[in-house]
Parts: sequence; C-alpha cells; structure tokens
Amino acid sequence: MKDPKYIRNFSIIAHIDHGKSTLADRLLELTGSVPEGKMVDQILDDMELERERGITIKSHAIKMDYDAPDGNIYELNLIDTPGHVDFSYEVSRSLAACEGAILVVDAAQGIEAQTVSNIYLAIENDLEIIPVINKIDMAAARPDDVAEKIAELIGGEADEIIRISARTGKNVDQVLDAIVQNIPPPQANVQKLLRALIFDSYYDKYRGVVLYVRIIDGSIIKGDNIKLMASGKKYEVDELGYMKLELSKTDELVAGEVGYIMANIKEVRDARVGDTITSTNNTAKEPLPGYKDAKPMVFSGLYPTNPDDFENLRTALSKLRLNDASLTFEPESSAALGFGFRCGFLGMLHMEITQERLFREFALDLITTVPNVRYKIITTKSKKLWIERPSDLPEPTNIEYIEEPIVRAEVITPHEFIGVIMELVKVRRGKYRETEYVDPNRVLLRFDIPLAEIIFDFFDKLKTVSRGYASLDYEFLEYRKADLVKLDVLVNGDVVDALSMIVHSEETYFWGQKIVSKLKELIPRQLFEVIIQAAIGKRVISRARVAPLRKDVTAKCYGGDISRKRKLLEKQKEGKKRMKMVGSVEIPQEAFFAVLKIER
Amino acid sequence: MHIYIHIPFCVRKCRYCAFYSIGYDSGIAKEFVNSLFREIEMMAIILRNRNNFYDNDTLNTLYIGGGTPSILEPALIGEIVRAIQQNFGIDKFDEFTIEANPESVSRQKVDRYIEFSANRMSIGVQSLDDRQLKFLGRIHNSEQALDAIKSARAAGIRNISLDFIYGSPNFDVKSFLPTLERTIAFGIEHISLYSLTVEPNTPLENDVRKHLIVLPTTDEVGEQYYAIAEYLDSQGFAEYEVSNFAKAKHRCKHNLAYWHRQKYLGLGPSAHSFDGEYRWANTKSVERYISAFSRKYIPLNNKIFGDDFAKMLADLKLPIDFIEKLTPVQEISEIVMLGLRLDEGFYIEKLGDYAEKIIEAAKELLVHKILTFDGEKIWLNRKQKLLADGVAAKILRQVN
Ligand SMILES: Nc1nc2c(ncn2[C@@H]2O[C@H](COP(=O)(O)OP(=O)(O)O)[C@@H](O)[C@H]2O)c(=O)[nH]1
Ligand code: SF4
Repeated sequence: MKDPKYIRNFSIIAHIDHGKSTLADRLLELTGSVPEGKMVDQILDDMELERERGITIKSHAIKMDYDAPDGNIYELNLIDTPGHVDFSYEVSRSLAACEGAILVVDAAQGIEAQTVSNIYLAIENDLEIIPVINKIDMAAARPDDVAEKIAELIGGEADEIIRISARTGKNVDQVLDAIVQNIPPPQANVQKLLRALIFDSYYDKYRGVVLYVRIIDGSIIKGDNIKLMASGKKYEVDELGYMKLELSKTDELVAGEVGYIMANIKEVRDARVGDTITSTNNTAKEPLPGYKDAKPMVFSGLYPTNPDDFENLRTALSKLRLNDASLTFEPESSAALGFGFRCGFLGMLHMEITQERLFREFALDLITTVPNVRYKIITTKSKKLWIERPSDLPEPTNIEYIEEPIVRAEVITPHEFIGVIMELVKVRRGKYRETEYVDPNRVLLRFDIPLAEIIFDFFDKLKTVSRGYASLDYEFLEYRKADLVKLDVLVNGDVVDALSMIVHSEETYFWGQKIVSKLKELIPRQLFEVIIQAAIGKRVISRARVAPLRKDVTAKCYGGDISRKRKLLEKQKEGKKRMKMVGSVEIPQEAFFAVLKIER
Repeated sequence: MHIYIHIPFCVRKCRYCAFYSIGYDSGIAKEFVNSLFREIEMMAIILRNRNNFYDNDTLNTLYIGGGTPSILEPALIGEIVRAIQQNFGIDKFDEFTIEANPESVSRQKVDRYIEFSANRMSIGVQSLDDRQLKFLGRIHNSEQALDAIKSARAAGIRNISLDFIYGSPNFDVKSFLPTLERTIAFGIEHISLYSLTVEPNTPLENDVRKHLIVLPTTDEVGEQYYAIAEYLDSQGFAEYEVSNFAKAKHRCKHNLAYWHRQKYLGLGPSAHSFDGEYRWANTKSVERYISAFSRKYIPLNNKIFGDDFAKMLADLKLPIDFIEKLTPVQEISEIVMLGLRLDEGFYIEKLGDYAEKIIEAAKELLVHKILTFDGEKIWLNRKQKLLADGVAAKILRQVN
C-alpha cells in the first residue's frame, strides 16, 4: 500500500498551444513512463476530433513512478483537464481530484482569459499552483514580463517562477522537483468509509464504462459492492487499477490514489462525473461536495436528411450517450423536417462535436436546426413552461412573460479593443458589469449577456474585432425576463416550423429582413415561384421572391446515349435528395442554419 | 430493327463538340470501314442467337451519323449499307438518314445516297450567320449551308432535317427567325434545335473557364427557346421532342425509337446500343475499335451464347466501353426522363408498380400547371419544356 506521503496528484492548466502536451511528454520521458520516441499527444489526446480541433474534450489521466533525487519513489498522477468553456464543470471535477496544478504559460503569449478562469477554479479547489513559463527558447519570448504578470495574478515572486522549454527539455527537471516539493501529499485516511470522486469516465465497447476516480477516503478492492451517492445505483467492482500507458490492473486502490474502476456499468450517465462512490454496506454519511448534474444549455433539432435514417440516428445518439453524460435527446417531429430529435448540449462546441461525430462515425447526413436556449414561460394562468424550441412557444396572448438564460461572461483583451468589444456586447443585449486589470496591457471585462446571443456568432465576432486577441469564458448566471417574440418564416404560405426563432421585440424587423434575404440567397430557383416571408403572428414583416426557373436541362440527349443522360439525372436527383421538401419547395440543408450566418 | 452507325471523322473539330470524331484520313477511313464490316457480321450473328432483337419490330431504320458521314467516299457508304442489308436481312428501310455537313455535301453525293436508298438527310447548318458559324468553329459558311439544302432537295430528298444552335453568345432571336424562314422556304420537314452546351474537355469549356466567353444566362436561353418554338409552331412544325420539331408525318422514326426505349443497335466507335435489357457502348477510340476488329477474333460457336450477355461480350473481347443491365428503377427513370421530353409524355401503364408513386410525385407540378395528366399519360406543358430534367429529377426523387 502506497504511503500517501509519496503520492502527488496534479493537473496542468494551460491555454491551447501553450505547451501542455509537450510538457506532459517530457514529464513522461523523464520519469521513464513511456518508451522513448512515443509521443504523448497520442496518449493524452487520443480522440481524433480532439487532435484536429486542438482541444481536449475529455479528461485523461496517467500515473508516473518518479525516482526522485531524495531516494524515494513517488507516484505522480497527472490528471489532464478539458480545455473548453463548454466543459468547465468537468474541469472543476478534475481539479477537485488534485492537490496541485502546474500553470503553463507561453512566454510569448502571456495569460489568456480561459486560463485565468481555470486558475480561479484551481484556487477555489485549494490547489497549490506551480507556475511555469514555457517556450523560453523562442525569439519572441518575454519571460520577465510574463513572470511579472503571473506573480500579480497568483502572488509569489516573479523571479522564482520556473522557466522552461518543453520542446528542448530545458529545466523540465525543475518542474518535477517542484511537483514533489511544493504540491502537498493527499490528506488521506484509509480508515475512513470509502469515498471516491469520479472525475472522468468513458465507455468501452467490450468492458462497459470505465471510471476514472480519485480515492479520497478509505480503500477499495475487487469484488467490493459500491454505491453511487448521487444516482443511487449499485454495482460490484469488477476490476480496478492504474492508468499507465495502458490500464494496469491492481488489487487495491487506497485513499490518495488515482485509478480506474470497472463495475459493469452500462452508460456513463449512470455514473456521472462528480458523483461519489461509496461502499454499499458502509455508506459514507456525506457525498463529496461539488456534484452538479451538468445540464444542457443549448438545444438543436437533428433530422436525418433521409427519413429512413431516423432509427439509425436514434441508435447513433444512444451510442454517443453511452459515453457522453451531458447529451440529451428526445424524439420530436417537425412539419417541415419530419421526424428527428431535439438534442441538448452543454454548449456550441459540444453540439458541433456531436454533429461531427454523427457524421463521421455513423455516416449520418443530418439537417441541424438553428440552436437555441431553453426559455422559461410564465403563462397568463401563472403556469410555468420550459420550451426548448421556438415553435413550442404558446400564443402571445397566453404568455404573461418570458425569461431567458443569462450568463456571466468574461473577456480578456488588450486595451485597444475595449471599445469595439463593448459595442459588440451592447448590440447583443449584454450588460456591462466591471473591468479588472489583468496586467498593464490587458483588461478583463465582465458582463451579463443572454446566452442566446453568445451561441450565435459572438465568439467568432469577438475574435474578429479583436484580431484574435480577446478570449472568452462564461458561466450560467440566472433566468431573466426579456421582451421576446417568435418570428416565423413562411415558404409559399406555409410556416416552416424549423425556421422559427425567438428574438427580441425591438429586433424583429432586423431579423425578419435578414433571414428572408439570406434564405433568398440559399434557396435555389425551383420549377415554380417561391415566396419567402417573415412574420410575427399574422403580421408579415418582410418578403422575398425566388423566381421560377426557365430552363432546367442538365444535358442533351444525343443519339442513343441514354445512359449518360440517366446518370446525370441520377446525380441531379441525389442533389435534390440532399434538400428537404417543405411543402413542395426544396430547401437546402444550410438554410436551416442560415440565421447563424447573418451579419449584424 | 433500328441501326445506328457512327462515322468518326470530321474535317476539323468544332469548338463546342464533344462527339467522338477524329481528323479525316482516307487510309484510316478504309481500315475503319473494314472493322465496321467485321462488327456488322459479328453483331448480326450474336443478335440472331440472342434471339431478342428482331421480335415485334415492324419498322426498320438506319441512321448514319457522326462525326461527318458526308466526308466518306459515297462508295464506302454504299458498301456499309449493303453489308447491313445482307447481314440483317433488311430489304428496305422505312427511314434511312444520312447526316451531312454543308461543306461536304454535293448534288452528286446526294444522288449516290439516294441510290443506296437513303430517304432522309440531316444537315448540320447550325446558323446562317457567318460570324456565329465562325464563333462555333464550323468550317462552312451560310452560302454553303443553303447550297447543301438546295442540293439535297434537287436530288429528291423529301425529308430534310436541319440542325440549328441557339444560346450562343450574341445569339439574337430577332435575326435568327428570318434565318429559319429562309430555310423553311425550301420546304424542309424537320428541325433540330440545340442550345449551345458547354461540354467537358472542349475548347469552348476552356474559353468559358478563362472567361474569354460569356454565355447568356439560362433565363435568356430559355426565352430564346420559347420564342423559336413558338415561331416554328406557327410554321407548322410540331415540337414533338424538346429539341426536335417536325411537320406532320415527318417525326424522326429512328430517334423516336431511342425515346420510346425500343431496341437499337449502334455500330462504330462510341455507338450505343440497347436490347431492351442491356445498354452498352463501344469504345470511343477509333484506334482501339479498329484494332479490336482487325485481330483474329474468337470463332463464334454455340459455347459462348450463354445467358450472361455482358460476359459474352467480354469473352469475345469486343471493344466495349461499358455495359449495364438496367434495374427496374433505372427503367422507370428512363421512361419518365425520356417521356417528359416528348410532346406525348409518358404512359402510366408503363410504370408498373411505380405508377402510384409517380402520380403522387407529379401532383404539385400539376397544380402549378407544369404538367398535365389525362388519366393515361403525363406530359410537360409546352411553355415548360425546358424544365424537363428538373421535373424528372423532382418526380424521380420519390422513386428508389
Ligand atoms: N519553441 C517552442 N515550442 C514549443 C514549446 N513547447 C511546445 N511548443 C510547441 O507549441 C505547440 C503547441 O504545443 P502543445 O504541447 O501541443 O500545446 P497544448 O495545446 O497546450 O497541448 C506545438 O507546436 C509545440 O511543438 C517550447 O518550449 N518551445
Ligand atoms: S462537325 Fe459535328 S461531329 Fe464534327 S466536330 Fe463539328 S460538331 Fe463535332
């Protein structure tokens, strides 16, 4: 049994590209945890999508045995955290499994907004922070400046901050020493009743759900009967062990340690991140703090382009959900799009990733409706309704008022962009709160803004107006009353439910005109005239016409070559199949997403 | 039966042409004709043994197209026709068309064609505007075109078809209609009207891609078509197919066979055939065609006449570019696609199990007065002819 004195649990906090993976790579090499030459990115970022997007979506963990200069062998558990706001809850749980965090800051880039909020999270979790300035080998490196700023932010002496090059390996050994010396060993009591924190989980086709856990109190062995305190579900431990390059079985995990548990769990939602594992017979009194049922914030309808794929889509979503506790879906039907699912996501990134996986891993061609938030409706009869799609909004006469989710957003930006960002925030109905100086050149702007505004193109716009310098972080604040109405889109007189949107009453004309002209651009000319209208209730506020085609001939029919003609027709037919028939009008898939492309 | 023969030679390639043709060379032409004889002999035996080509086919048509058939020595044409007649046992063709380009038509040639029993000529006039002809890369001028028509007429061809192109840059209906009038005055019977189409791998495509040429919009091309069609109608030419207009009793029987999905045999490079079940096409390469038929081929014996036609053609190492056996859906697609191009439309009874689905799919288009349905057949209204492909695709997306 490992003496907790020789255990260190830590994570690495870093902005994308600041060198987290490279540093992890070096640490694994220095501790001899990885055969030479095998890159760590392959271990830490093992999902293709993650690699492509350069973000970590899931947490990962790895155990290293470090033969320290003091002659002792330390068990170092590196717990990697997701790097995106959509997953800040997961980040918080990973941090809760650690006693320390290495803060990696790029010597040329300095600190970014997301990093700041993760630092705060780390501080909230009482983690010992070891700041490290990376990439000092670069010409643009300004380690002294960056060191000053780090010291301002987290305290401590600027000149004591470790300066490394993860690429060349320079000074990385100092990081190892700091981990052993500065990060406190876990406060572990093996005698207490079992409490283990689930900080990550994934679904394995062959073995079911694998839980990544930090044992806080007590110990656990194979065959133990366990209970999940939040879900109440009970299981028998089937296997447990450490995360090394591969999973490595062991007999027992004890307080202070990090490891994995398998217990015939079918879906990750049965054992959610943040839940506490205890023993069925000797149940701990209190669960570990901090559990949250990560609730979806963004909703979108997913419809198979080919109606026959409906069941396939259901199967695919069920499969994804095995491994994604935050994904929700419920069948819904749309007059325009047929049968599909209303899916809930943590945020836009989560949504995009899910869609991309459905496409890549399940070859499903989908139509996605414009994402929206969940609205709270108070009816004139004082009933409370939650709606997740605009077409479900009751008649205006039955609505007392509507509330929408507001987030607290933080933007860190160089000075010169404060003006344009404030403007952006204002246009998007944001309310400015306060400004904080991060360092002499940069400020942190805090404001409240409807989530609905953020999920449109706020992030892209922010990047554009700040030439890429500003960064964004946000979290849910509360529901607030807002003057909102439903804007309908009609195509040849029929309301296309999938195109309805909820907008602020002062912006109806703006949206009405924009959506109509965008659709006019996107809807190809058809065999007959198409009239597009935007309406509030019965009142049409904008209109456009797509003239009918005069000629729609793909090729001549020369001589006896009927085959070529037929093949061209088949192609044209396939092209049409990618469009949705709404009434008799063919609407391309992009149209259902058109609102997102509207310039403000 | 219906036979097409492809003569793959032209004096020079036109700018827009995607047909298979090469420069004329009397030596190659001889070799080609020799190979053609071999192909005729072989196909005659094969089809006789397949026993599915001659049934119920009351009409016999022959169409010698190209390329530029009129470039060949008339004597060679005579030999080809004789070979066809002997091998397939046809005395007389109900319709025998020879395609000709104005620069190579002469009274003497036409006299010979008539001797060989030709009774229809299709002349590639394309335009009577010399600037247009130049733009198209044609080698004749308007005078030659008119002379060609006169020669054919004087020699006694009573069924003349002229090809015209519209939709080219600077094409102007107002000046085009008088052209038509002049040619109609010769008493011609048939007109084929094609819009200039940018085919892949043509000089025209290249010029368009480099923006050296700006084509009229599809709307403009559409307006041109409807104006010309209207005029032709007023002159007694019925629009019996999207691109074809004929005086009474002068619809092209051979082409109608294609559109009615009757069986036809195509001979020569790039020629297409259909036996009611399979569609296949010969190689486009004149060289490969010639060499395939000049080698010592496998003797045709009973062993090879199995059920699998595609396999048989492969075993015989015939120079086939592709062969496909049509699926039921493909058959339906063809019926609809081809039928919509015809004034009569397509017959519901031919659609079998798909009839209901297709009528359902057509409903919306009936409402918009794009289609008409008389309980027996569905057709595209005249003012909507150029929507044929879009309508076919829209209807057929419901059929899988
Ligand atoms: N010059 C230099 N480049 C580095 C250093 N550390 C990492 N990089 C590079 O920075 C980029 C991002 O590093 P990576 O470890 O993938 O960052 P992550 O997104 O934080 O995991 C990669 O191209 C690395 O090779 C360093 O110390 N010096
Ligand atoms: S004459 Fe006809 S076949 Fe020959 S190149 Fe011109 S268009 Fe093509």
